[in-house]
Amino acid sequence: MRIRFAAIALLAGLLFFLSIFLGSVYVSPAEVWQSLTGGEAPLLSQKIVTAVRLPRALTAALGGGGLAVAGLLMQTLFRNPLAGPSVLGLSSGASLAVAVTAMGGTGLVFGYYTQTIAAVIGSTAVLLIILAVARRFADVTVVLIVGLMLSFFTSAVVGLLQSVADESSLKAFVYWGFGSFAGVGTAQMPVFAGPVIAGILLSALLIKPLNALLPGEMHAKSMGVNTGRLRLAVMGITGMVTGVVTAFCGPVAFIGLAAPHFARMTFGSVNHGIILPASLGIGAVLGLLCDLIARRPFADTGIPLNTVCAFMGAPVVIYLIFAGRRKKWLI
Amino acid sequence: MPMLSYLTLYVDRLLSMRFVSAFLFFGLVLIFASCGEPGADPAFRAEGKAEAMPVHHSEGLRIEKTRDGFLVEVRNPRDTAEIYGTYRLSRTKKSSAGGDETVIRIPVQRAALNSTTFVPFFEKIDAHGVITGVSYASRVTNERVKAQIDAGETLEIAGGDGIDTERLLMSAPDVLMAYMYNASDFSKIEDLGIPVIMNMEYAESTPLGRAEWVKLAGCLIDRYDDAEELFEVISRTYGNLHDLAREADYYPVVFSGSKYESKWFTPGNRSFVAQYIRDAGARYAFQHVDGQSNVELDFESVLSTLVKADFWGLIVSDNNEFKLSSLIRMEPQYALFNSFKKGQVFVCNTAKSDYFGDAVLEPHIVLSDLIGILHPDLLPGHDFTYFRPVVVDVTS
Repeated sequence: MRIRFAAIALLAGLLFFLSIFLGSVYVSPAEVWQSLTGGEAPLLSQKIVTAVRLPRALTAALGGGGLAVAGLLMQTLFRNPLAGPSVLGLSSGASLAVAVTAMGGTGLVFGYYTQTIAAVIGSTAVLLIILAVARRFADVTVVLIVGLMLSFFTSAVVGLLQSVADESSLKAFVYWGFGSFAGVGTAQMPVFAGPVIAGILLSALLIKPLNALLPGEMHAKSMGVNTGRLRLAVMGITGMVTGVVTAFCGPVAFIGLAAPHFARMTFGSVNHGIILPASLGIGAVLGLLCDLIARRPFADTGIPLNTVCAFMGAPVVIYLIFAGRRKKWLI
Repeated sequence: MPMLSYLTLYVDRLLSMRFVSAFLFFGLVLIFASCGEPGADPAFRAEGKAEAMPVHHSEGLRIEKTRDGFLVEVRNPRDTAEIYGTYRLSRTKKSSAGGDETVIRIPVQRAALNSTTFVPFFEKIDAHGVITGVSYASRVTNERVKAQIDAGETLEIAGGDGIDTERLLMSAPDVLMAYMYNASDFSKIEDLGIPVIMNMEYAESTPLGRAEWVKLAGCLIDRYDDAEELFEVISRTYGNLHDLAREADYYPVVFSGSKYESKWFTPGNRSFVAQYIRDAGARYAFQHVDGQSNVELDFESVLSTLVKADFWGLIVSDNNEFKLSSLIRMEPQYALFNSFKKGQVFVCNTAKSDYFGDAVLEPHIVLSDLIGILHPDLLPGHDFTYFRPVVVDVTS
């Protein structure tokens, strides 16, 4: 198991450095290294490395990792392998909120962080609805369908806003929808990284109760877990992490859904003590990898992040579901 | 310095305050009190000998000459209560971005442009080699800048997926000239130490208003007088052509735009396109359609207007020659229009002329094309540059 964790960490480290060494302009590896270690690189190279590439790689790693943890928490809470930020409508809720601030002409009510706050509210609101449904109906299919319908509903409202929006705000929103890890600069990093890291750390406190929840709510209760409070904690963490990542990076698809499955497959375990850190690591790897492909280093233009995520994520999830059914990796 | 300019500037400053209603009365009192005393404005006081430069046509641009440069204020031309930025262009102070006031050290040696329409503002006042970064490099038609792009001296800083920060940094600009759409956020670029200055020419409602933004480029390279002189020539020529068009004995009805699905997309009556049509001695068919940018109308409800009008002008992008038959291939219903039947259609083919570049600073040439088309008797033998009548290759 240690070897597998080491491999994930190594892969994440490798991809992290790769994304710092590769970019749309050429900076020699020696200069990149000097910029990172505080050596005497030309000012221009230093800026490119420390102010552009480093925050972007950090965002990809943290965003991917954060979404993966959020996905895992949701899959356990809903006891549903298909749960994930982008499937249950959380991203759509955040999208709707961002669309309202971007195209609805509400202006920047909370100043610079309007979009972030709106996205958090949007994703948490959808999560609340989903959770209310989940409490009433034990059947996971109902929950999934409601989530799906909520996605359709929010898309319809977004479509309505788009049809009346002026060209420029429409364009801005469409670009946001493509997803990108480039939106966080050095100045915004604390606002982005703070809640995401806090969410990840807080989720580590939930390992035991989450494990107790695996066989079912009754079992968790008999183990002395306050399921109501657990639900609230999971909701708060996933809403915050998904909201913040979505606000800064757009509705990033599939990473949150796929990473926990990868983790369970790699470690052949459902113990959160193992798959929580594993999901975090694999999420970071996926975030960095998708970003690297989307950027197409040295090419003139990149491709949307979500295109890459969907191309890689959808087939992987299909495979995992099939393979997982056979080998009982699934929860 | 004419009194009136001071007064308008003063009123604008007051109106820009949020508490307009409460202070309007006091504002009026102050205006009357300060008549004959322009030094009462805080900005003027601070500068000692500041002087507001005349801006005649642009709604969004304000320039004051200061002791060591210029004080430039950029507003939304479509809503002048909205200030996009105040920029201190200084020959002595160091550039600093962000904060309440952006300081830009002039003359700038290197500039990155986030729109190809900004290219002529620099090139036409002979600021060659200043443009080190430009968006959509493939759309640049200026020969000199094209050569710089091929030689790697000018980098493409933005394409389909927005500004590429790495390339922007690589182009090492002293300033980024950009336009504001919705609530564009340039704070990330300012954090990198690159001052960003807004150029809102696209939102101006008159062709001369767009062209006047050449003065902004003039301030940046510290050759204001050259820019002003160029603009004077442009506006004088434009004015003369407008006077000529007024002599026409018949004002034809002209419309613009095209059909997409069940909608007709057309510039509104306060767009610079509508202004061109009016200035060329014609009536704009959608005079009643309020709007500064493109407006979508229900095709069926405007069909009678479209059918009756005399001329149709449109902008196309076609690598081949655009002919009347090309229109019918786009949409068979176009054959209903009188303008089509009479072959009175004119186009600007952006694949063959620099409508989104040079034309911004050549409104007089665009206007002469339009007069040459709408009133050929006024400009006999006119040589067309941007707009030209389509080749009539079908008869109805």
